[in-house]
Amino acid sequence: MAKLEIKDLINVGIFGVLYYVIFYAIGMLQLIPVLFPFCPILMAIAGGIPFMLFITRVEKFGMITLMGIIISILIFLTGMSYLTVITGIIFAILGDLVIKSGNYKDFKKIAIGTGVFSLWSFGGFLPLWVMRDSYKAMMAQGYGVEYANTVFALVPDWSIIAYVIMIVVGGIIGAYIGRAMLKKHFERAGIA
Amino acid sequence: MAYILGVSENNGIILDPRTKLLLLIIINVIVFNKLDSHLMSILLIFFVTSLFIFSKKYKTAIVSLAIYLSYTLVLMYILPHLTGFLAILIGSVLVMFYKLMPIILMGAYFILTTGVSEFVASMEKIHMPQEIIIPLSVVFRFFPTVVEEVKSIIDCMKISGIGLNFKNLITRPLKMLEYLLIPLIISIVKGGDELSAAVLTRSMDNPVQRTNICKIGFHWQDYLYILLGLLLLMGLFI
Repeated sequence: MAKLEIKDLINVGIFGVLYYVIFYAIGMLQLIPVLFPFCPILMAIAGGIPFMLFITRVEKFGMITLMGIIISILIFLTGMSYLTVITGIIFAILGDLVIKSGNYKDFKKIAIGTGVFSLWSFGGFLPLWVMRDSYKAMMAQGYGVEYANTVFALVPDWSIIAYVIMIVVGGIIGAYIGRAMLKKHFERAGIA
Repeated sequence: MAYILGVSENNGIILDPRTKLLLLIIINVIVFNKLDSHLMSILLIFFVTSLFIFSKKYKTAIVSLAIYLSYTLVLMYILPHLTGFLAILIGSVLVMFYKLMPIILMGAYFILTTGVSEFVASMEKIHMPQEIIIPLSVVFRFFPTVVEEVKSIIDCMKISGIGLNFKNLITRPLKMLEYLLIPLIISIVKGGDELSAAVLTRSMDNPVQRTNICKIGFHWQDYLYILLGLLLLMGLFI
């Protein structure tokens, strides 16, 4: 494993802050209730744009992993579950491995890897399933038990798989949009 | 307003960054494992606002207590009377944010009262690898820049007649995303390249241990708050 240089680390920081800000802005859309279930896919799509530009600067294993760790720490600092840090590390390493297998150049591998990487945020949604009882009890306080049951009927156990698929697909779509943006803008501006 | 890491006026009693981090973890674990406890939620809010008061941020403390109080009133007196599917959805989002408030406030306290150098110094003390410290300090350095940039890009979009409003967001979301993100990414990335050049001339890549003039250390207030935090953590098992 080649050692990361200061320049690489600064790149991780720069794209980390961009990814985080975009992610958080889209996360605010959760306040519009209709969009609530679709937020993960929107986040993954929007994150694809800075991520594709980031990939053009990656040549060594470890940078994508670090990126995942940094953004999950940031998300943890600003109000998501500590589980995010765990999923952040796991899926960033997996995404890194997928993209590395294409030597950071093969676009198909990059798209799939972006999808896998996008799963880092999954820990933020995990409380819906992992801490189901405590979550349900919390809602029951506000509305009564039957309301809580109605809501949780909307989020059955198997929907965890639907969420995973949604996020991966979102990441792949994001990679395609990101590549289009890269061609349209960044190459012309000379920073890709 | 100095709401970003990097500006820290040391007034009042402020905890060591390591204590803040530990408390942040404790609060996060408590909130997510005890979402249903009202008592715990109230205790945590007072716990965090007391930190704001000690660090002489009275305004933040009062505002957050007021928000919490009005939130509680809404949840107790208004929400139970609402019915229908939409009310449930709105309600569940509101309740979620209500429960997350202690974490968000603690995160705000961490960011408001920690300078970048203090942060780096304390991270080095707990032997966090450089690979994590450097990107994180770059992130904190660029937060204010990103906020500034976003503001001016939104102004520019208004001047060009493609303002960032609700109608445009609904009718052409992808275009809006593009107009907002591309200039932002270009300017931040350029700034980052300049930053790399700047730190390399100051030989950041020298492998020797750097010195740091920040004085950090544990004092009585750290021990007190760690003790209180652990006591709250014990509440999980009752």
